[in-house]
Amino acid sequence: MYNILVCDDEKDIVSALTIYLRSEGYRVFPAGTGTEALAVLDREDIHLVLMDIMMPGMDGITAMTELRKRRNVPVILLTAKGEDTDKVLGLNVGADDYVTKPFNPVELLARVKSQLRRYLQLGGGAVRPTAITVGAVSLDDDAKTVTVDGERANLTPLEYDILKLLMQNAGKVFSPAEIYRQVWHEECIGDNPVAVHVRHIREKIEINPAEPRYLKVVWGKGYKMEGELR
Amino acid sequence: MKQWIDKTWAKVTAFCLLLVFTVLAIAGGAGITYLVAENAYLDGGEQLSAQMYEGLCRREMGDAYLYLENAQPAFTVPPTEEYAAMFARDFQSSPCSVQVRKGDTVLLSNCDPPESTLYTVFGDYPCGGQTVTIVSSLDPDRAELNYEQVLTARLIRWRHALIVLEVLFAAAWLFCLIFTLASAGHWRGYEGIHLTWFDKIPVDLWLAGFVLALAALGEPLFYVFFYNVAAAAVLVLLFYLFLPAFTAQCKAGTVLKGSVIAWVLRLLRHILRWFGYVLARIPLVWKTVLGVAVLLLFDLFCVANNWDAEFLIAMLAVNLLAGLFLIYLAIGLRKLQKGGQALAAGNYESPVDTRRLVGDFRHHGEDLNAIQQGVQRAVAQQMRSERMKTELITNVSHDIKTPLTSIVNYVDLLKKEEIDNPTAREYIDVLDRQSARLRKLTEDLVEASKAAAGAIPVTLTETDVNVFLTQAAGEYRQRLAENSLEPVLTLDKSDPRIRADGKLLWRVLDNLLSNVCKYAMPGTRVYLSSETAEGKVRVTVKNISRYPLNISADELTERFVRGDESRSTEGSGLGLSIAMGLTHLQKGEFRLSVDGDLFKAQLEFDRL
Repeated sequence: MYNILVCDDEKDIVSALTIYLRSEGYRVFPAGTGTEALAVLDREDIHLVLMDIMMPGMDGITAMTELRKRRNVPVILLTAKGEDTDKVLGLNVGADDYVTKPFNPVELLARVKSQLRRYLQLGGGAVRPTAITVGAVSLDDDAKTVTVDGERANLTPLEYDILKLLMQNAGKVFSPAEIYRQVWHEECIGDNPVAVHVRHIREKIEINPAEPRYLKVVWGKGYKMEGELR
Repeated sequence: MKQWIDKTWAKVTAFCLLLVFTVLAIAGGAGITYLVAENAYLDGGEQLSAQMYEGLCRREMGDAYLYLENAQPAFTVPPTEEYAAMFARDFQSSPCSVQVRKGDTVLLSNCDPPESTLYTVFGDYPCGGQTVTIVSSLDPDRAELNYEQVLTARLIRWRHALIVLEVLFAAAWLFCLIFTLASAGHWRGYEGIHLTWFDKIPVDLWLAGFVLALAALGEPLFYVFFYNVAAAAVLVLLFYLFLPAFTAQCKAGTVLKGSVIAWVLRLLRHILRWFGYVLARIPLVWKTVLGVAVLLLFDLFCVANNWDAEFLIAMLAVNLLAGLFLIYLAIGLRKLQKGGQALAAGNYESPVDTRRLVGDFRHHGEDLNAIQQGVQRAVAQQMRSERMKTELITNVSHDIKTPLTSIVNYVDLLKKEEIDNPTAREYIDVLDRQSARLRKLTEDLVEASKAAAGAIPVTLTETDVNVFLTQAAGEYRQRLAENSLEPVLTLDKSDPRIRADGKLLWRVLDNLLSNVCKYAMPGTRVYLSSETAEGKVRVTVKNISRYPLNISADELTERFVRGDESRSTEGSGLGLSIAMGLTHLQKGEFRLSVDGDLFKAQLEFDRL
């Protein structure tokens, strides 16, 4: 049973989120303003915070800066602003994830689940030494398994090889032709199938494949795994 | 006849015949003229014969009389036999048959009377106390006639046939001429009129040739008959060569264009134009310097030639001063000109430097600067208003998004409730669909207004078009397959690169491909291709529309416009407008074309 703090000035959104989260078995603590949220945070043992940015009184960014001074819980920002610059700002001041309104309830729940798993893994989850880990994605080359936030992703052998190549060289951009050469061990003649496989991998390891967190598309150049290799 | 018009042998034959008939017709004409002039057609050639033969006959007659007067022994009537034999012997070589008669009795004769005579004269003479008649007839058998006399005799004899012949010659000549002219310019293997190198000889060159030929041949004219004939023949031959060439040029319409004069005029025009071009490109100040320099050089030239030196040196000084002043004016004008050019080019941030300008120039420069500032203000204002519009749309959409979140969430919750009433469930479905559409609409609205206002940060980097297309096709393969569409990727072999913002370019293609999924006819192919041409790289997306496209390509990129049939389906009608805005942000061209049910979108970028 995890405790989740939901903070939004729109009562209706708070109630809706409460209904969704409760149905998944979480305990929900509602708050209407940033100040209120901080008070709840001091009082209760909160595992995750969902926070709106635009609120009267103390806004979400300020509240989160305050919050970070006290606790290290994951924070997912909710906002109507969908600009890239806003996302960067939110993530820079300490948010763990970002969901734009109007959000898809299923996607939001998936992100909550993912953040909670990571939070708990960080707190002592066993990571096998042979595994390559980038962000929340972990690839165990002995067991030939891939886990995202501790949950197993079922990749085909080809998809596994592509992901392994990208994870071993996290941050480096591979062109489709290069990936083909390294994974198939031959030159690509005709249609390159790499793009389709990458799309499938994204569907399996990303919550929202259109806005990937880890396996990024560098348009016109290739693909890369984003994040630190651990 | 028609089928011979382009045959070379027919042309050559006709030309040769033309020459032959010309000679014949001229000769015939000359003969007829001669006969007419000598009245031959009226008196049967009597006058002409008289002219030619009378002298000869009379000479023989005179000789005979003198012979009768002086010969020893004296002539008696009737003569002795010895006398008759002597007379016949002595007049043996006479070209005429000479008879001395008394009445009807032939006293003396040099031969038997001839069968036909050309001309006869007779006269009565007192001889030996008696009057005798001497008859002298020109005998063609005895006379050794010269060439001229034979020709004339024949002319007179054939004078009527000659007219018929002349008519025939003239007709043949005319026919050959007409054929030669008609066939001019027609050659085997060429449609219409074809000019050979010979036909292309300019008309004025021909005329010059005639004049020269006349000048060269004309001087000795009237002195030597055969030389005249030869000169005339050369001229006629030249004229005959000229005629078909000229006709061909007339047919081709190049008489004036092909002439040397026209060529010279064209050359002059080119030179003038080039001169004007160069002059227009010399900067104003240098043009003035050049003008002044020419003026001063002229002055110097006058001074050097010592024309009234004192006055000229004064004038040189004045001209020097005036020239310097002119150059100064030109420099000021150049500054103003630069300001005007900057304004015309849309550069409103470099004012004219008025510090060194004086008087009217300074005023004008200040006016230009005022215009510049005014335009600058107007542009800034417009930019501000455009930005405010975008901001307004963005803010309004943000405000809409919060209530929309509640609607989306509660509709989703409602769907999960167990509601037995089928009508209510149907209504919930409508709510679900429409709220999803509203959501898409608000997102697209922000995007479209930003794309149009250019309020999106753009980072142009080198982008490989083929890699990009492979990636885009890969992203969409599954969605296309779900709509029974088969993507066909045709990539340019040269791996072209462009400068673009990958993310924005993806959003362009995302919009296009998402349209393809929505509006393409299931079961058809979708063509994605890259190609290069003239330093450009083109990316094309082609598909067959599911609905008739009763709308023009221009209208499709207008905001909120969709084909009538597709209005009831999902989508905001902003996709193509966004795609176009984003393409323009990356300095690309965005083109749509609709051909029946074929829908084609094309992006064009400069190749790196």
